[in-house]
Amino acid sequence: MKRTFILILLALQAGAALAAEPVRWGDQEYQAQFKYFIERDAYERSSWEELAPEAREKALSDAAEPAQSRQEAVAAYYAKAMEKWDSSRLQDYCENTAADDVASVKVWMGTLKGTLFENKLALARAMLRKAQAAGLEETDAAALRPHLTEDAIANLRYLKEAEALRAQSGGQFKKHELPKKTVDATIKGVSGALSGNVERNMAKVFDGDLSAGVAGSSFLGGKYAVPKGAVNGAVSGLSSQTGAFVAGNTAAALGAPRATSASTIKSAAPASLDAAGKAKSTAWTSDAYGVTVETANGKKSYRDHQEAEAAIRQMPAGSVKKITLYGHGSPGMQTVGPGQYDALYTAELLDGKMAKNGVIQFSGCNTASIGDSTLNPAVGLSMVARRLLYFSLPYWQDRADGIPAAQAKQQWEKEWNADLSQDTSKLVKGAIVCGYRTFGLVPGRLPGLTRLMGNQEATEPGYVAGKKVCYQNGKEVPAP
Amino acid sequence: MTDLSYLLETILLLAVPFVPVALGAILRKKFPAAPETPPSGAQKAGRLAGNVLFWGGIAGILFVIVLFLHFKGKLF
Repeated sequence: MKRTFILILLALQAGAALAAEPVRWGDQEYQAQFKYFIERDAYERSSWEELAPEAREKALSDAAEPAQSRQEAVAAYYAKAMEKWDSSRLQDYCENTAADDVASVKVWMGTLKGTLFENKLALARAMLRKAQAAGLEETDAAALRPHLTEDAIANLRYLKEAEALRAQSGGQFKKHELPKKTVDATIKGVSGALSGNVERNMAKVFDGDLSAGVAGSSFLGGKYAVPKGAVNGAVSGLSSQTGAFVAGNTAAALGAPRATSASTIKSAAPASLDAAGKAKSTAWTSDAYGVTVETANGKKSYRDHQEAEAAIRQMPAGSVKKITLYGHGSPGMQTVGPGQYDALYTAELLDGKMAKNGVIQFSGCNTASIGDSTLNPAVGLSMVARRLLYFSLPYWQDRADGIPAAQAKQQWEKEWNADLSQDTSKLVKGAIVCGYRTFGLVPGRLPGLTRLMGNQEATEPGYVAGKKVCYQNGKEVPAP
Repeated sequence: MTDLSYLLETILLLAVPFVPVALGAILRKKFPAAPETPPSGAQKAGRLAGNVLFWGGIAGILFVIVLFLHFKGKLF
């Protein structure tokens, strides 16, 4: 009897020990949560094993809901991404899909599906470039058939013809131009739909997600949802030629006519860039941003970042002596109006385009890390403000949202001092990449002074009060 | 513990711009503008340091406010 009692006690103890055994890293039962941790760099095997069993349970339970919704969002994104793309979606995916998006698909959907998506994207990007440069062959079209709609393939083929047409007309494109009314109405519909998409992308990095501390948690799901319907609606009933205009794929090939129609499309915007730069504005606050590219042929400023990108993509290798991206900045990110530039995207855009010792200037706040300590009180105050706004604020917001302290700490300690300039310089070999370690105060942007100076929509910053730093191949160099 | 240390850090960071103002105010009180006896060189220097810290500190606070007003989830 006594022996039986002891045996029962031992069995109970063993059971209790088994129940208290901590969850191991990668446990099948908590797949979603572990994927969530991996994607957000919240934990890795070593840091997980340092956690107490109760802390592991709490982390898993806290992550259960966000992991589930993230899983659903990525699955929906993947399903949509693997459908056949029309021209708009082709353009959108090629331009807006970051390496992080592909990495997310690999984490959540598995390496195989991630690689399929990656290959589709690589093929689409390569064919888009080829279509603009040399035109598509039948074998190319066949390779694209599983991935693109017939209309989209036809539009890609039209790109080269449009280029030839432009060359024949020697830039006098007006007689070949589509009726402006049709083009304007079409493009208005599309730009309206795309602006929503752009807004979401902005929010992903800056507003909602960053301030709420959930960067990258929800943007995939809705990323392309609106444009599809709206773009299809806008494109329906129009000829394939108009479709090509709408898709924007012809932007590069049809540079001249697009610029011509731009002045009528954007009735709210200034008539032309030069006029914007020179006309005196009476607005009290600034809306200044733009891209300025210097080549051997001179300097040209663009208010529209997409127009600037299309022009850069057409430039020969090694031709850009200096490019200035002017807008808002934050650690690891620079915006130019609705466009946003991180190190990867900038490197992809400028890969091979920079001249020897060419300069990439990020004219935005905090586009470099804060660097060493300093006695300059203004620099010190800027550092204090940066830490408060990009670490303390999102950290406490995350905590208020119930995100574990360790996870919030890991996320924001990494983000707040990100160095966009240095990261870009490592990717664009040989180029000198400059940014600001501090907030940059531009007199022309200050409310009131904007009115006095009349430069509400300036595309270059002029004087910037801030601590500038330059890098080449990841190493600090004197400013050129 | 993590929360506590970051709470302390946040409070200290928020207090930083006020430190020179407080120091300046103390120095200005210690070395009044019109003392009963003519001020010595050291007293004049103390008053000057107080003024620099006080008004420089206020300028610093205004500077930080300008930075914060520019914050819309993105800064320049």
